[in-house]
Amino acid sequence: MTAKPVIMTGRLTKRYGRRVGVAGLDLAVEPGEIYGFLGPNGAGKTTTIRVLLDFLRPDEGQAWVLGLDTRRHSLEIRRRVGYLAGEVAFWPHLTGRRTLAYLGSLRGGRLAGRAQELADTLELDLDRPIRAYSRGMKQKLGLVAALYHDRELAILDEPTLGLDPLAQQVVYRLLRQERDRGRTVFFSSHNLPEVQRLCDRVAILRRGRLVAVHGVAELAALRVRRFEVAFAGSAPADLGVPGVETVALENSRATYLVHGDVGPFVRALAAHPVQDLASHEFSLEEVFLRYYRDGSEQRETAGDAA
Amino acid sequence: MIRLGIVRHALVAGRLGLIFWTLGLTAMVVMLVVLWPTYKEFDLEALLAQTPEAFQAFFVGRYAAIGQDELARYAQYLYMEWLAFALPLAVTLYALFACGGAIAREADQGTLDLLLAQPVSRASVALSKYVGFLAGLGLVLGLTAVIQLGLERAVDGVPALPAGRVLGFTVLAWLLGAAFGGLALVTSALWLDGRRALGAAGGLLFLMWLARVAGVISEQAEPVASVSLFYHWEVLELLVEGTVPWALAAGYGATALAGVVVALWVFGRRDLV
Repeated sequence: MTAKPVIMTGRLTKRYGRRVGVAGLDLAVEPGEIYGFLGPNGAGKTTTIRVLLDFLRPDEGQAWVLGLDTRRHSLEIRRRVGYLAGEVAFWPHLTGRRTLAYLGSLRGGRLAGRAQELADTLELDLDRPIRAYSRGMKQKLGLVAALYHDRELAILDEPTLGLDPLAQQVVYRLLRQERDRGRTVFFSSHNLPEVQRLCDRVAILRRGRLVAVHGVAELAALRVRRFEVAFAGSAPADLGVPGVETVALENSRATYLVHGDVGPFVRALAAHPVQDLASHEFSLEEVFLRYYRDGSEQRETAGDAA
Repeated sequence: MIRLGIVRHALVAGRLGLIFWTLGLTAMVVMLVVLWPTYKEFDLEALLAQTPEAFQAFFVGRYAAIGQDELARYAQYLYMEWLAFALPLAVTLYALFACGGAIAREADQGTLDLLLAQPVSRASVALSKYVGFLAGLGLVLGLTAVIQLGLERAVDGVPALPAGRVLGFTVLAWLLGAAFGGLALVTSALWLDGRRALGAAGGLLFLMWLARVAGVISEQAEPVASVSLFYHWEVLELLVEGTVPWALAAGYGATALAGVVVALWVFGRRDLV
């Protein structure tokens, strides 16, 4: 890619006393991509985002957003960036519509028709007072506030937090639409399947350090699922499929770990008399333990990243 | 620098407080004005002579107007019952809650992030909130002054203070609020935690009153007491003779300015964790 990165950090370090928020972080987010920022709680995702918006000042290193230094040009950056906080909060005495109008007035504009359009898409009633909003409704309002102005970059801290699965799907669709309109979306998550479904690239953060940057293909290979299978007869010890491990075997029951694509595993199972099947997605922490036992180990599989 | 949207929002969000303070202050003024015709029969001079010197110094001040004409006696009465203690306390309490919580309350409820995610500088947010407070306080004091002026002219047997003098002490009370509000804004920016900020500003307010009382009781305490905003609060001469205490006004104005500058400096440099 030849365009300047939309987000770039160089050896970014932020400490809270003795505790490290992020350490030596190098990131490069290209224009027009959906970039996931993945890590368990406390990994440093929110710290990074807060540095990008100049809420926190780095101890070392630098950050640039849209080519602008986050310390010197924070106003200009915030003019061109939509932001959703991790813990979304509003003024309880206002309605959703008044909240958007207030925020819009600080941007020197009126409430755009796009706000109503987004609210309709998310099935959000803008005329209720916020004190009557549920957690999910506040999250939806936060998303509308972050996206309703035409901004070049959306920085979203856990955008689907508190949303039901149907609303999550709508959010995924909205974010893809943003990308298709040429906007860049940078969002944090601790949900691996979510970023796999949505992102063009993903940076994985653990204990404040960048562990890896993956493209879509590498990301799919990261996914690990555990299948517990009950057979009519004795369970096969080895299905003979690459990427499938047998981790437990007891008479007619077996537990397999499947890495990446499950297609070959399912086809291999079809050759056996399966009575019952249960699957379990590995949590992000389990994936980390499996792939990145050593926190200092760094994998760079995206080629052009960071 | 000053964002009218934030000023307006601060006024709307604090509208219940505004109504409460306006009702409280006007009720007090109505009571004092209406009671004067019955009160004036008292021999204030004799009454005061029976009280301890410190009490006299606190409620009469350095300027004694007793024994003069009815207007002066009425001014003395207003000063003792209202201006010496109740009004400055009310004004500084209003400033304490409005400014001590100005930034910290937004941080507490999580809306500071939302505000600062807009293209608005931290200085703009703090300054606009402070201006919102000044406007609210001006509204409360202005309404109280208008009601006082109206009542003095409507109720029989009550001398009417010249409008300029009422305006004078109203502006001075506003400046006192502005000065203490500036200091409370510093605590708000320092702690970004409503309870701590209000606690610190409340502690400061208490210490200032304590210093004022100490200065009245003991001459040795005067150097410490002179730091208190209340120590210099002397407006009786303004009421009786129309002499404007410019030094007092300038001192309060300078304190307000210094407080705001420090608050902006602190808020602009700190991390928003």
